[in-house]
Amino acid sequence: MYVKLKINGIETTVPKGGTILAAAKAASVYIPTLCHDPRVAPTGACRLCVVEDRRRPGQLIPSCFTPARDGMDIVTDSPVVTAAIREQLKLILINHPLDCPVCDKAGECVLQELVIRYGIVEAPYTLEAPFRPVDRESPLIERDMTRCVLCGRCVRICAELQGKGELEFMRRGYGTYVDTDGSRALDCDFCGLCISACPVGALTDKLFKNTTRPWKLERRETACLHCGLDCRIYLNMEGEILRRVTAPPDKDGAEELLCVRGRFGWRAAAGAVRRPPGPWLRDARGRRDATWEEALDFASRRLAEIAGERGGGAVAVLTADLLTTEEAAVARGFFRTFLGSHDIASLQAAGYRRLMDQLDRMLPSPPPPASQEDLLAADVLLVLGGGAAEWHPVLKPLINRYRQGEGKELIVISSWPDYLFERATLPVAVAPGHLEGFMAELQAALEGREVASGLDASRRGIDVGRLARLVSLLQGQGEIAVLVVPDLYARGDARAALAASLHHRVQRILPLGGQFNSRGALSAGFASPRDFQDILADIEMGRIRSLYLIGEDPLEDFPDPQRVRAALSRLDLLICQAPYATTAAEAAHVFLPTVLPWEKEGSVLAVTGQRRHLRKVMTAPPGARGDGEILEELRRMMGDPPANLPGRVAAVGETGSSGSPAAPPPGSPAATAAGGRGFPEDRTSEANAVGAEAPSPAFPFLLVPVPSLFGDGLVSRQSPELAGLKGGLGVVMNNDDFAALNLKDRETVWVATPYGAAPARVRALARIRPGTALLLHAPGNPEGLSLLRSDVAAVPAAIGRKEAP
Amino acid sequence: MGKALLKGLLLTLRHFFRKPETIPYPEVKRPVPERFRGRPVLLSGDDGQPLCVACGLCERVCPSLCIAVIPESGEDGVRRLGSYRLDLSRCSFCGFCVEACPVGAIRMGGDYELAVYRKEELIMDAEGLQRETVKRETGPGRG
Repeated sequence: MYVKLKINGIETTVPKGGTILAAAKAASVYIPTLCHDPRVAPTGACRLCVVEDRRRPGQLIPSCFTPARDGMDIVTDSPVVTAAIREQLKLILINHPLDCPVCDKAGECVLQELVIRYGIVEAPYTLEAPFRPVDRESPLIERDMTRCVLCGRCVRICAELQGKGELEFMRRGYGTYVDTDGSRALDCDFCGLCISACPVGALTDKLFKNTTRPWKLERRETACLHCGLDCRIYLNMEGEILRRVTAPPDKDGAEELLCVRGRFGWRAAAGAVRRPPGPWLRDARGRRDATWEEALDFASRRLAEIAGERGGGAVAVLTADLLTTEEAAVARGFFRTFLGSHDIASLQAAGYRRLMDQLDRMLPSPPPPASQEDLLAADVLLVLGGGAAEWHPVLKPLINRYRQGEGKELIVISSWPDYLFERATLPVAVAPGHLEGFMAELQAALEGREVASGLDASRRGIDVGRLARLVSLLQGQGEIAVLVVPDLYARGDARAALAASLHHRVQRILPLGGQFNSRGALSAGFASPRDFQDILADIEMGRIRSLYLIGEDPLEDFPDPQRVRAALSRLDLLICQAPYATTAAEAAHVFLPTVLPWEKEGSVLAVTGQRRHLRKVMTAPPGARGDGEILEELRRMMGDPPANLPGRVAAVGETGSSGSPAAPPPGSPAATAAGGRGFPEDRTSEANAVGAEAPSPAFPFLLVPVPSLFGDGLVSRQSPELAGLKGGLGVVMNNDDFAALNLKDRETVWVATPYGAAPARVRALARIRPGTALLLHAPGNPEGLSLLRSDVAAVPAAIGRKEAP
Repeated sequence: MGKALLKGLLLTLRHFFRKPETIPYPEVKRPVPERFRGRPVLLSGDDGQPLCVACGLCERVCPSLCIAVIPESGEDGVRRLGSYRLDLSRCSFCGFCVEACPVGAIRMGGDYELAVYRKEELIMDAEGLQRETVKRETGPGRG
């Protein structure tokens, strides 16, 4: 259904329900706006978008929220309209300081442009300025409300899209201003959507503040590094200096969405302190800086020796998915085909790779790419596992957009109250440790199989009514899309199985938790059923003698760093190839500094399946080289493939036959399928049966490590801003538990588990199940990691003020 | 012939007793006219600091791209001048920077002796730009 109308004499059409403003845009007619943001619902606060209908002269219509009607004959530039706009601008200027010379918005300020466009040179009205707060204390976002024009864009975008409602109108009438409750500093997601929405300089980016001017910036498009959604971003460069990150407009001209990592985490790539100037070696004489030739010569010689002596199977590889797809193909060729290594695993993307690997094996065809539009088009969105919006924070505004649709259902099955869980139309809470069991039973029940214990809802702490609704929605007519969310460290195998079992009824299955180019790495053939847990056991047993780290750090990204450190010290060769000198770099025999994706060219594949080609947008540090370049050089230096390799023959055979990911080496699948048999601690595999150990009197809480909004990945951790927002290890408890322990908000407490103890900052949340505590920001924190064990979704813990036992 | 010579010498002699038309430059400087556009000068406030608020408009408007303004945050969080650089070897003395300045912090000065031994000396910082040696008889409207 379309509406036909005339704008300034131009015939145009707009879908029924569309506004006059939308019609004018379609007709390429300019209408001034200040409070209009296409991303949120219109409100008509600024009255600058007034137009006139020729059939009713003199009557001014706000075009941004008046629906177009058939036969309208709109004029946007009649003397009445222009005079009204000019008058309105003068009224707005009463309470807007003329501090453009020192305002960061100058040059991209909507009000400034309008004042110039309409030639307002005099300020005829003067009134005493009302009270307006100025907040320079909040991190990252500065609020100078004296500049505010009360358009309400920040208030609406924060509530509607980010779902936080951090900013609100205070007081009434002439005294109105925008502030947080109680005029405190901001304590929100710091997504910066309010900054992107503010038409004037009332909300500004503190990192950008007083550094340059917008007209000096060149925008270079690339993809965000901080998660696998690969959001499009503009790097705002002044020469070769990165000044800020903004979102490009989407196809409708509205600015795209970004999260805190994308908007404020860019200093991880520009000016990070841990980027070393060149390679180094560590041998009997100690650590010394080396030239690239020396370092590569050493690495290639030692790799050839180890692969020659013990076979390619003695070399294992860990890759963070910062490689471009082309580089991933080079890496696969080098390690799988040339060296004959079986193990290419990942730490940060371990959960994602495992999900994809399982789906690959269980689905008749690979899961089709699910774009953001596909998700929005579904009627039922089923989220398996907690932490979807914490892995990928841009899902917050996307899911809020989804929820605005009519009759949309959001089902979240999670053991902790994550962001989506709290906004779900059907939240299904499962006790920590029971999630896997519940999903396995649910799958069996949906398939009509007998469940041994019945769907014993009460035992797992599940509301029976909700369960019935869940089943009826899953068996209903609505189109279903499934988001599968991995745990931080545990292998959540049942959720992939459940998703796969629904495939005939489900439009899209989207596994989450991927890193920058995780999907691209899988498409290049990195898939492997073995993860670092298996590799670690093999290192301890002496089967693996060499570990090649590409952007990964097992000392920072795997539970139990002491065990990892002991294992690493048994290696004959540890090569660390990474953009940053992290903890493992200090222990490595060879360190090779690499460039970041912004500093190289190549294609990436987002977890949504969207392929993008990225240009080089920043100059690389002088001492760093590309990952692909390094591996090709190593291969060239090694000459022939290392001879007499028992593993190599098999590897060539299996990879040569097809482009599909290599099958696991003989002997290993059985060991891995059992979920880490051969693991030194039997307790862990026992615990795996329920996913968590039971609390005991000494350790009354269940501690669940969860992903952080501010980024757990290696790149996110290099950003001083994101690290500052995290504020170290954090623990979130139920309100009653918190009160019973008589704790203060953000007080430092000791968290102890059977494996270790660490100080953490405590916060309370009402919706957490009593007896459960969430552990935040453990990745990258050795003390935090020492509390945990891999493959366990939750560990028993004690929390208290006292020193740890 | 001798008479003509004497006549000439007499004319010369007469000039010895007249007020001289020339000035003993460089000991004495010629005053510059009111609208003379010499080397740009950054004006200082009472505290001796430049009045400039680092808005960057002079840099934007400069046709020969000889100005670089680097701002910084003051203690109160407000933008202030970090560093100001003007490359006199590129300056065309057009005066656009003066016209663009919203706070009247720069004006065209009276200095015209701009010869230096090394070109690098022509790149001036805020401190150098605040100094002015040649004063005008009557200053222009601003400053």
